[in-house]
Amino acid sequence: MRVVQILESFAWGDAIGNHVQALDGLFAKRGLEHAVYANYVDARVAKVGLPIAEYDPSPDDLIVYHLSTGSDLNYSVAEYPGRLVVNYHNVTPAHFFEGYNARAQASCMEGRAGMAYLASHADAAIAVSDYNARELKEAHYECPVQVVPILLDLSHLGPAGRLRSVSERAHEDAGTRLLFVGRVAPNKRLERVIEDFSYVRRVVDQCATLTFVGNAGGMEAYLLRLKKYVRAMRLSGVRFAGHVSLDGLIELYRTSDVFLCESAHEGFCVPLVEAMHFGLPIVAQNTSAVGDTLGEGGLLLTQDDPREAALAVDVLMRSDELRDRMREGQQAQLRRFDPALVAQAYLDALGLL
Amino acid sequence: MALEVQRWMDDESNRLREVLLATKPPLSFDDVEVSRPKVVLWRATQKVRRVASKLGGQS
Repeated sequence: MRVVQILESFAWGDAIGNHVQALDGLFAKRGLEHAVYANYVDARVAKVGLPIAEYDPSPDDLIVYHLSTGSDLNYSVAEYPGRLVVNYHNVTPAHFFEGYNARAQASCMEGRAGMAYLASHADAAIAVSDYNARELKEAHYECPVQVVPILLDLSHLGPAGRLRSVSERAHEDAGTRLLFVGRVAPNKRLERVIEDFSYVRRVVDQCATLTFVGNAGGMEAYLLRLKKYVRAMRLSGVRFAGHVSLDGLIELYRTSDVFLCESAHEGFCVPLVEAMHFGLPIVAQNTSAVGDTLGEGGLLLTQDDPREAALAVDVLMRSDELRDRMREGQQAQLRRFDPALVAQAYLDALGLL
Repeated sequence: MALEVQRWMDDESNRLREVLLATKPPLSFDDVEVSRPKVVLWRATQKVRRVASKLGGQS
């Protein structure tokens, strides 16, 4: 038997690409024959992945299909003779991209249709969060659906950090440093983070700063609108850092005070786990898979109101009791996402134990 | 069990809430138009042309 991973785009350094690489390494370690095929293979992962045109299907193959976007593969994988396991990472609802990127909008629409199509063809499904599992059930997946988180190897981020107490933080002179890491995309609602920040800056801490880290590829119109918004508000202290180096990212995680996430739609949200790895306090809107990923590792907003986010930032900067609970919560979540545990669960879900 | 913000509110939070409620809401994002990159590029090109023609150069 051969374990074959198939996906639309095998990128270098993104959440799904990293997951695929980690799984490929896992299968190799287990002594299984393994391969990765994709419509697009980044040159930096060309040693691991091959173009799908080179795939020679066999009935003995165990196909793990990573579904996250619109693709002809959403249909053609059903034609291959091997056993099909859909690993569902979620597809962003298309409406978020309306007015910003028609191609992304169409791709997401196709992705949702493809996800529904595979319901009657999948032999099993793995969802990376409870939220994703619910979506599969709603799309009439009657095959076994198991929840197994993304296989995350955070070793490239270096040593883990510990969530600091208020007094440890108070030794620093700088204002409250807010951070969000993630693609610049409308479903992440960066405009709401900016609104939150405007209240923080006016009422909680006049010296506060806000940094966004993330690529805006394909979403330039959205980025321009966000910058225009900041200018129109005459708001100082906001920085769109774009893509940053790994060292730059680590530095930001280590030196920021709060990770602020207002995302409306996430299938998992890897940056939340990265923030927990560094012991960075988190405030997040309770939407989609965010609550599943966060557990007690961050403060969940209960209202979609920027003033509540400002209150959350304030109490987080003052309460050691809350920080102690959050520290325990983050440690618990990091244990849940421990790569050794997740690897076992993944192999179990594939029937390979 | 999630850590919900309401559970951690204290007297200071309640005082701050009053201030926040009295604070003027920021401009709505809906009031900011979507900028098309092509339009932005076109405007920038026009500006360069105007400056170049004033300087007597070619664009």
